[in-house]
Amino acid sequence: MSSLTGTVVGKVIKVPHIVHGKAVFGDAVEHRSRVGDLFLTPKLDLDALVRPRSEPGPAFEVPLREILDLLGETGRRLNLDTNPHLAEALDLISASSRHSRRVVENTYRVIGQTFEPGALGYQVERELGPGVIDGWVPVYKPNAPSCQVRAFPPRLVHIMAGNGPPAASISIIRGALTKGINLLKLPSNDLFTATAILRTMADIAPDHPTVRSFSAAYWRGGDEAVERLIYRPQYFDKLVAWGGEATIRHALKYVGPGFELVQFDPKVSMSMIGREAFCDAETLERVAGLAAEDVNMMNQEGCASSRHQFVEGDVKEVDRYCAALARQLAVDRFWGDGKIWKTPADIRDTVEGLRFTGTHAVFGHYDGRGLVVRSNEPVDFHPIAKTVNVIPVASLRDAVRYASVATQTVGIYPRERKAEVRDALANAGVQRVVTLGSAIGLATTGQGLPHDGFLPLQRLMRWVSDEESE
Amino acid sequence: MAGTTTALDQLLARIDDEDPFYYRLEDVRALQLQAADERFQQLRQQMPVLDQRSQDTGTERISGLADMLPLFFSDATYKSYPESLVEQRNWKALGSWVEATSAGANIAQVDVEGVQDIDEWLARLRDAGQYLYVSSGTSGRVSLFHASAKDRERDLAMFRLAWRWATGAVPDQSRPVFALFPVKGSHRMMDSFGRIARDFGRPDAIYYLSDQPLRVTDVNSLGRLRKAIGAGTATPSEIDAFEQKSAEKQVEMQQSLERLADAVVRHRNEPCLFIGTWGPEYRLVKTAVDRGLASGVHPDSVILAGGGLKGIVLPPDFKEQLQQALRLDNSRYLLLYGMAELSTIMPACSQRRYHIAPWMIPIVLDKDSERILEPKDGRLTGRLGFFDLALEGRWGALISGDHGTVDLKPCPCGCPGPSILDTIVRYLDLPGGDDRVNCAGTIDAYVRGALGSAVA
Repeated sequence: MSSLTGTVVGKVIKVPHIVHGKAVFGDAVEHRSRVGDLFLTPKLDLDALVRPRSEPGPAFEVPLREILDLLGETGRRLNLDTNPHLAEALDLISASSRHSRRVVENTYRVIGQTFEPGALGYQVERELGPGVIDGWVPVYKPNAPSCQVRAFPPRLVHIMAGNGPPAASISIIRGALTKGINLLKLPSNDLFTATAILRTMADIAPDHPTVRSFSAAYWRGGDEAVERLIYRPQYFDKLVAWGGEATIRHALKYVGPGFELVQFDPKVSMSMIGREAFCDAETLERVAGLAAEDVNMMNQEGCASSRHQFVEGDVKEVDRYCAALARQLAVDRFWGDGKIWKTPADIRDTVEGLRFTGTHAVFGHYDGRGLVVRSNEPVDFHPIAKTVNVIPVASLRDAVRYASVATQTVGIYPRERKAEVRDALANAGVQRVVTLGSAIGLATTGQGLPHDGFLPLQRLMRWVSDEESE
Repeated sequence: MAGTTTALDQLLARIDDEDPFYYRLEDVRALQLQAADERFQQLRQQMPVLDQRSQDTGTERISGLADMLPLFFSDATYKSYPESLVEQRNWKALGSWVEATSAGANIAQVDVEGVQDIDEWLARLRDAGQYLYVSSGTSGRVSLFHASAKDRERDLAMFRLAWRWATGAVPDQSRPVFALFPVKGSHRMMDSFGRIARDFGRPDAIYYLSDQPLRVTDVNSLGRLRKAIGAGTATPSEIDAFEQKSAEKQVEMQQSLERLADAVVRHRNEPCLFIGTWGPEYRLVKTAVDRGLASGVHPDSVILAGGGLKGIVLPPDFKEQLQQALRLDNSRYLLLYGMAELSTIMPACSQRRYHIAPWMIPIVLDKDSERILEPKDGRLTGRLGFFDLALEGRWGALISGDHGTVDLKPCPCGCPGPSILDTIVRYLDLPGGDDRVNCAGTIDAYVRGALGSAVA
């Protein structure tokens, strides 16, 4: 393998760091990934990774237009067939990934789309309002002297998510749009995508202020020796954290005056299917296919992946749906594999026991093609590895009580019935209602629409005012 | 002899040998495999879950370790009943589940009219001769499994053997006993340990941690509250009441420990017997020292200790502290390793290695339980699993959550049989190198608080 981004020496992988836009190679520190692979990184130079507040960030005064141009060009260059950084990231990731190479490759084929400058310009304007990112904008408050407001660039440290390349591109895009200073903490489950994107940007314009605004490094999440030194308001305004409970709990230790947490919480998602699905056999199969699409994104490893499905119908009808869903789960999809790793033993053994309660039915297989468990109430275990729990309900409204603050996305069929339940769902804590089959929402998530219940760019900026008096 | 008795009988008869652990694996392997197949053929007739598994995996016979692997259950099997059946008092469905996951249980025929909670249900079944054990988990969810009359008999025999083998102690009802568990309850430990306490203990000097029975309903209430908090239906005062009750229980526990500690001080010049798990024993001994135990207990006293800490935090040198306070020789300790859902226990020898009886087949698997590992220099390191051939009331082939090393070579203690090194850890407690960040979560992540401390 060539040695552009990471290098494979035997089974040892070298992961570069990015310091203010420049790649730094080295093998001074040994780490072990979740799957036990050894990887090497350069020594962490914390002094180099932080920038003093005494000087503004490189991109603070760069017009948005120029940033959008750079991002647009980046999007065009993120072409798997011509971009060596991306091709290499794909090789390295698929070597240790549990997903098929086909699915991983698909995720790389779409990340360029997320850089579309028209959509990003819309996102900035929609989330922040016109002009405020480029300078001081007058605001006119009734019966008050005129004041000015600016969305000032922040200093951000991002704890990135590693479940799929779009997570990396979203962090980089948001960081770039803020014009702020960005330190990316690489996740052990994707050490390559972020650096590949940043190196692509550096290839276009090595001295571009936005390029120089980014650093990326790996340290073990929660490593106090690193985090207690840099998670400080002297260096950063906000910690932007994705992910699991442990990540958030670590991060909370450092939150204090002047250092804020912006969190994208770990989430679960579900589906609600109306009785319209049963109008004929063809429709049922099609609806099951849409539901399988929502289950099988990154083989059910995403926050938007459906795990529980509430189906309006009697047990007999619902069992027909379950059988169709089990068939559809076994189909190869753009975002998921028809056959994945085996069902984990604890789920398999639990489901084997449930067969004999007289209140459950089981469809599908334990071999990775997909498993469906029908029960009167949600099962006690957390469904993973293409396992879906289907619960019959008399009406979609009855399913609302199973939604909670932990619920992110609810996919609903048919689309006309979203309006019937969306207020009740929002009241329960749900953040996103979609038409069944559209849970992935790559083109919409965060791009001018709320993400996890808030407008992310707005939260990331520092809002500063210049006020007049009479 | 061999012509008329089964391989299973031949192996199980060894429990009466002078030293059942003294054997060479190669001498019994063929017999073990034959016995494994006999047990399999017998139980698949009676256990729908096992029969289903054998059909699904196309396993008709056991003739080698590889045939056994697809038939191993995880301990999830005995926890797989839906909690909602208990909440909704659906004893019929729960009974069907027990019958499917056990052998020889006759639950359906027991009259459970009017039963209000799971403790009553278990008591009603017990009155009808149907023994179901529970075993607690840290998640507030208990496993539920059946034991036949023979299983209970062998359980007691197994404990007697372990005491004799490790410490020389015999059941002569002569010793003051400090039993670090409640006097009654459905927990397997309470049945096994309780019978040991009565077997070895002087009837006027058996001290239990509590005179109140341990109720499954109380253990489950933690699980129920977690669920209610997750669903957003628990009120602040319900959470407060639960936490206060937990705090009260802690106070009661300390009072009981003080009562027991005073008895330890009183009986310090008589050979006593301590029975329990590490956590409560450590606390008892610390309390006894605070209350006047200055120069240890009688040197012929014996102590059974073991069990995982289940998330209880103790000082790293707690075993040394306990040993210093009691001043007992190593040979006075009965250290055990075993799985709650299995019957056969593994006592430690003078070299602190856990010895495996010939009617228990150890297997060592990779982390994901996908393959059986091959020995390197006579040792196997990985995920531990056991086929306990002694069990007849449920399936005894279980994969544990533990990582450890099995030595197939003779032990330094002089015993030629296989042993497990004193390096066992739960996979849960291993530094997994888990630095994987993912946006997908579970509802549990939203249930905050120190509720975990309420688990006894």
